[in-house]
Amino acid sequence: MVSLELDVREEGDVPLVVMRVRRLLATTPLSDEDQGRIGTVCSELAQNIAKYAKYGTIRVEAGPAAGGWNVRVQASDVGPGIADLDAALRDHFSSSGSLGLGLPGIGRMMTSLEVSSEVGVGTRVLTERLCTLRAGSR
Amino acid sequence: MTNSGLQVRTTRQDTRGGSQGVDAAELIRRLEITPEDLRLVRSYGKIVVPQIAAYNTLFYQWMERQPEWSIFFSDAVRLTHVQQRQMQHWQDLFEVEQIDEAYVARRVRIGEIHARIGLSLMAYFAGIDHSMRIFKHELYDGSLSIDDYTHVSVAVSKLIHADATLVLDAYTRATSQKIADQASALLEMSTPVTALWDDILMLPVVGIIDSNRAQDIMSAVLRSVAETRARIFIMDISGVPVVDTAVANHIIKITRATRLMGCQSVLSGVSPVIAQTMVELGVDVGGILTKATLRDALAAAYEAVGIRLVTADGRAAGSRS
Repeated sequence: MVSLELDVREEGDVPLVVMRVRRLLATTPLSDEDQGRIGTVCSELAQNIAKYAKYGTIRVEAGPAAGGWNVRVQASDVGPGIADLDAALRDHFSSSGSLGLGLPGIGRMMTSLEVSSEVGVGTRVLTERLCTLRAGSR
Repeated sequence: MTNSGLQVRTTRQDTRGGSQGVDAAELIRRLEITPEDLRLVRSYGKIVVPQIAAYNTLFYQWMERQPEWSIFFSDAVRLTHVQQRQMQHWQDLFEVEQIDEAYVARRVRIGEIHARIGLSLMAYFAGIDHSMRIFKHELYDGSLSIDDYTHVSVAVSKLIHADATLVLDAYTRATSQKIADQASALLEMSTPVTALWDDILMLPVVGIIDSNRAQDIMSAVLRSVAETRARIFIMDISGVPVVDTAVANHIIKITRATRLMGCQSVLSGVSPVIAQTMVELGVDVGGILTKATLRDALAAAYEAVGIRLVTADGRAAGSRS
């Protein structure tokens, strides 16, 4: 079981999150595809915190599970919250002129995705994926 | 917002560093410095300012035993200069009429000088602490009542801590400025847009792309397109570890902008992992010409500008058949 928690305050922190998460995953037997997915998911979530919230954290936990490794990513922020959760989970919805694929894209890459949000308080995103392992590792 | 990467970075530093640092009003509020404090400090100044030369002697007797001594004070001219400035500084503190922006600015300047010469904060605080002991104990003539001395001591501490606050703040800002400068220096080195051939530009992107960097890439590429009137721009992302929707958005914008200038962009070095995550994210790259490898992108570029490579004996070169 490996884990790490990182602070996000501004866009400059996003590359640091991606770098640290990738280093962490490199110590696990996760397949390259899944390392890429988790790295992308963390980048997406960190980007959202930097863009919309004042402050937030990204927490990554990865450990062996039946059929592979389970990776759990949790993003919590202190920010404006999401007024329309259903819309935020639909493709091409964006309140900031971006592609609007972040959250729905995470939903497609991961096994589960839960978003809870309170307007004016903050947002919490919890997502998990049962990852496959690199050939030859167990 | 502007297209200049430099200005974008400046904005970022401003939001981070709180621009000008601590101002006089904030300092007074935070350390709860009252006009009575200033009056007490001035009254104590009447005792210690006439002995400022004795302070200087005591302080430098101590300083000579510090490890920084030989690094900073081997030059006698510099030593005399620093001693003069230091005595003026303490006199300024003990004769303070009001804490205004000029008073703050003089102290911030001291912090900046110390940071610039590379004096450690530990050495600075040891010096402050030692100075405080000289002023409060060694130079004290015992002429005040215990109550008065206690009040004076608190007031003097406040002003010395105010000095330390400003110096620490100046150190911190100098350090973050240095980090920001190093990052931007690295950024400038990392957009080597190169003319590979007449009409063909290439940029290998290595590392993580954030919006500042995307702005830099955008302006560097558009500048090169304007200068060289290139018709093909190859952006190789084999060194980019993660392409999330924000990065994809930047790439799409860069290719659109070059197209507006009559230059077709080719994206190369799309790894299997990145291809898969982009599809899963749902990013539509329909309008962008993409190639798996730089080699394929180069072949497509040659074809687009009407170049056919042949070997010396006239056979088609570079074909895979």
